[in-house]
Amino acid sequence: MKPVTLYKPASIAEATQILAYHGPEAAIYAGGTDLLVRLKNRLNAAPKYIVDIKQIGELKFIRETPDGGLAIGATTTIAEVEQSELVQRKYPLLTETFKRISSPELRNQSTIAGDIMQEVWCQYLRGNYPCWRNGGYLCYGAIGDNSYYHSVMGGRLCFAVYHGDAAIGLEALDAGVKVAAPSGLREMSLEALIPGDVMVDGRVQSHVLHSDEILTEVVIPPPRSGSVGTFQKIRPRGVWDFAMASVALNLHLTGDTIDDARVIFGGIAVSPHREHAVEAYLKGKRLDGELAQQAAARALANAAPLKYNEHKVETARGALASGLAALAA
Amino acid sequence: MSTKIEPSLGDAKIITLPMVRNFSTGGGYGPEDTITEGDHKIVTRKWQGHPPVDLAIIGKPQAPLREVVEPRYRGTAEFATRVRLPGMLYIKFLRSPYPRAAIRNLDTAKAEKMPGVHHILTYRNAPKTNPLQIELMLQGEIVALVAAETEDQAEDAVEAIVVDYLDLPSVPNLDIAESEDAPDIREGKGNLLQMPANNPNHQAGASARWHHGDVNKGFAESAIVREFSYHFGGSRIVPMQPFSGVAMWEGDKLTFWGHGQDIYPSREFLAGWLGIDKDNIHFINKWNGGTFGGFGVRTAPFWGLVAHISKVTGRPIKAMLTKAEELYHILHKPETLSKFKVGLTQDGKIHALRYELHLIAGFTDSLPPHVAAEVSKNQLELYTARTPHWEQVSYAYKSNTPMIGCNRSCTQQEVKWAFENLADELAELAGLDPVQFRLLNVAQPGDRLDPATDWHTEMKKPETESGALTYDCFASVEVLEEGAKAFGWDKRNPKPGSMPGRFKRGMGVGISQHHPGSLSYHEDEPAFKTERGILWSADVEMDPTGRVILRSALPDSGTNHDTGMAILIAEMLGISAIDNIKLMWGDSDTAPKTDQWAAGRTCTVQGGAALVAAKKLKAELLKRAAAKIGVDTALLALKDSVITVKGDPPWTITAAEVLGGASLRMHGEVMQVQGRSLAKGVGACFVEVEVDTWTGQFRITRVVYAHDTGKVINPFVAVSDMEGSFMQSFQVATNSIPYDKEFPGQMHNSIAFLSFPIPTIMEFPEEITQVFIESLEPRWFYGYKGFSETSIGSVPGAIGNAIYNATGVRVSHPISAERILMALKKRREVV
Repeated sequence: MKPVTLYKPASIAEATQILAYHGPEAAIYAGGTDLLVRLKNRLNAAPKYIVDIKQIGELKFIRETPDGGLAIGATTTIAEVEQSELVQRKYPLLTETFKRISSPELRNQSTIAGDIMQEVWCQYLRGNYPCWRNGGYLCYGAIGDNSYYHSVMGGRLCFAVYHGDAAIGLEALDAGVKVAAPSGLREMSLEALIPGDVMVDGRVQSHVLHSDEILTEVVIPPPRSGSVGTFQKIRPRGVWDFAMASVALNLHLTGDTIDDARVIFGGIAVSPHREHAVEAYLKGKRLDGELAQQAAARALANAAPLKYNEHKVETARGALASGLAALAA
Repeated sequence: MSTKIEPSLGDAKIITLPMVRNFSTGGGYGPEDTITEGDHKIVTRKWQGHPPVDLAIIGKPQAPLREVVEPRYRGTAEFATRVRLPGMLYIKFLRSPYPRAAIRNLDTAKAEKMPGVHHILTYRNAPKTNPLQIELMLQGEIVALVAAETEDQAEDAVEAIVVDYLDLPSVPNLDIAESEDAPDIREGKGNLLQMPANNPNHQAGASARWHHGDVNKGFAESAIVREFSYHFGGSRIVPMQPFSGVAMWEGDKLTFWGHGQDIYPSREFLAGWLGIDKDNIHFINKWNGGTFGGFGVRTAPFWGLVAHISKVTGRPIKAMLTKAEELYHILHKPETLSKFKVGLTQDGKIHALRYELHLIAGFTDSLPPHVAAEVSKNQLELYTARTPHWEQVSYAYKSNTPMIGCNRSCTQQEVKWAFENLADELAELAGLDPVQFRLLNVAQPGDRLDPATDWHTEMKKPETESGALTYDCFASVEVLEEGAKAFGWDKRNPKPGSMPGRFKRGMGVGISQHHPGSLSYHEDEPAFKTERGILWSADVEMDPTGRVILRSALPDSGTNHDTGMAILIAEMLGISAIDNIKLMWGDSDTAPKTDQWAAGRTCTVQGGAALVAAKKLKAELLKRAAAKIGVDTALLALKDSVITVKGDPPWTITAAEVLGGASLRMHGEVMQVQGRSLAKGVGACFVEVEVDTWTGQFRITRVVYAHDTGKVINPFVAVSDMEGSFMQSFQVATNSIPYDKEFPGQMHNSIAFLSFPIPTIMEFPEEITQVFIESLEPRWFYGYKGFSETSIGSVPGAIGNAIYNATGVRVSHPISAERILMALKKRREVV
């Protein structure tokens, strides 16, 4: 493993100070299931200073908010969210999503913020090719073997797919995040947090946070009565693998008619991909067995697959159809 | 606290075939007590004098030997990875990033000065007996080794070595190997690897050719003639256990902890690399999580370098590969293209068959076993023993890819994938049920093969009878018929893809032929002395208390072969509980010389040696007892180390009393030669799948896996082994090697487990039933033979055929959801 300096701050304020001091060479360490792998693989872009935030007690919680929503602290593990009765009662879609993240072992270790903020898993980056995210000026995925880990919805610099699952389910619930910075606290939607490949502080990354900022909390609005949801994840194996394509559906029904819909695809784009066209199509439709294929046929009309990944578009449409069929059943 | 394992067979079926057959590779035998084999007229007693009747322990489900199995699960097994010695240094490797390159310059000056670094080895200072290369032939080839106080320091120093590579044109895949402008990577000799000109199978422009009859005449006579081709992308099965080696010198004596399938062959390789006498090496390899044929000394020449650096530095040293590094060293199943031209008669018999086998052979100048060895023709023989006209032409190319060879069997899935897809397509063409088509064409016991005109010319006289060979699988028909019955094959929908709705179920079948464990000759048989081959040996000892000790050098393989051998000698020595047998294994200081476990032959050859030793031990013990008490040995019986003297009343004497405070140790040997090794075994796999036509995802709902087994020694372990066999072959069917599609020769091994997706419990079939056809082997003790890899080649084709039956689309290898989905989309567009 690459040699690193480890900090163990006792508070968020102390952590942000350390991060601010070291700038882009520092990184936050909580579950470690992404960070330690990057260090182990000795990536050029791996950090030199590790800020361990596990000791900061104020970051580990699941609690109801005064308005009836839910707040989840950054270092809460995936397994804790998955197994929370509160989460299950209020947002079954979220429980379903978190159950499908990776494997039981990794869910025990990984944190919610780590899942949201994870680095991409493109084979070129992880193989230490000098790509945009690893100190270079080229996306090997765009010109190379893009069979599994690259976008079918276009890209700017880096075409690697955003692989976090948590954000897909959370964005379907219109969740937001709180961020601690040296200048104070700020809030933003998940959609704004992960726009895909962006240049921040000289680095190409999936999210907009600066190197001295810490995602402290995920906030979910109160559940709406009459909502139904599902998370469909298509992956090579029944456990562990990243999504070839996934979709989170959050539908609001009046009787059996859809009056509002959120459709978020995962595993196919550089960020969680909100499919407005399908959302618009679903509104006013009866949720029945016929709807699944009709909606799927209208999905991802603006897909721009790369040389080897057209199948991801078909898989994503299949996931959408599966989700609607599951909700109609 | 220990929990007792209750051995249960679940719903496995054991069907025992009649014990007398009137055919054999080596000649006829009848109900009488002897058999005469081959043109050498080798005479032996049927069952070696030990018929499979009234058996006390063989064939009864037994939990694995506690002594071997418990440390694996309790974390106390001393794998080489777990060896830690005072003052130990650690090795890390610098490896080539290119498929083919030359080192123009290499600078280690900075690395040598880094903290903790003790030694750096490159082509400049590597020993002549174990050199490192300046021209690098594949991605991952070792450029340098760094020994340092810690792994991190060694890694830092590796990163500090500066290498100027000259990136050379390479042969990374079959397309490039067969293109006209392929670079010559064999110093002007051309990349095609060929049989020598004086070999009868030499063929200009090809690697080799075998033929029988006149294939062109056969096509002209056929009612239907069609061509087919199938691509296999290559694959590899990867053990969970890390590959490791630890070296420690005391003066001129080396102790080496290794990994892999043997003790003594590894010791000899190591001695050769170091230029020392093999007796100066104490080799230890007790525990393996599995090696699957692909990991061992032949793929680990760096062991010699590790031991060399240990000698130079005077410190014990450990080298443990990362998973990504292992993937460069493990033997691969190669990328393969199989092209067929087949002529059928009106009633669906194969009348003429031309088979072209194209493959990349890795960085070798030798013809791979896929072309040069008997195993490569197994499936061809299975389908052509009754075919009047056939021909195989092989093309194997040297390539800048990892070594190819055994990886959970050699030349099985990569070829059988093609043959079993072909058989399904031919059945449909002929309007036959796939099982019926196979029964019509498959080789059957007693079929005569002609060695004079085909690839059997290299066979020796122990195998021939009046110059000819007799097909020697006892159960090629029964595995199909009994398997189909157990599976409910008659419920198969004959019209592919016709099931309505989103989720479609389908059934498929595949068959496979392989040798059943290299049946050999033991030391009391004449051929043992007249034939040359590989020697296997074991010692069986009784200590002064009467406890039996089995000394077998073979390392634990994770398959419980030790349990099988313990059952065999327990039967011979009248021991009721195998846990009363002590095992000494995996250590050159405690067990006699023997070869490596491989290809399911451990219980036949190594177990045979143990049986010979046990038989001698029993004879000597009874002889001493008879002398001590003054009776005839015929009146004595041995049971649980107590000797009973028949009489009225019977009386007893313990083995300990007979031994009088001394121990008794006997040695047994078996010679593995061509001859009985030609015996065949056949397996059949029946698979039901359910395919989600919206996503392409599929799951295996039901499996019946039928095996031609001989007497099953331990049905409990047999069931679990065959479940593993199915899952490993499922992996071969559904995964390939992560070669880059755009940057040829680059493998993506760095995402660890995502680079070799081992199937998980989620992929396990919902139902799996084993059917064991006990085709008793009359030439060996108790009628047993090997079957560990007999059936494994049948699985990928069976899965592919089931998906075709479900969906009406036939997908190429590797089978995946996205391939199924895109094939369905393409079909919709065509329709």
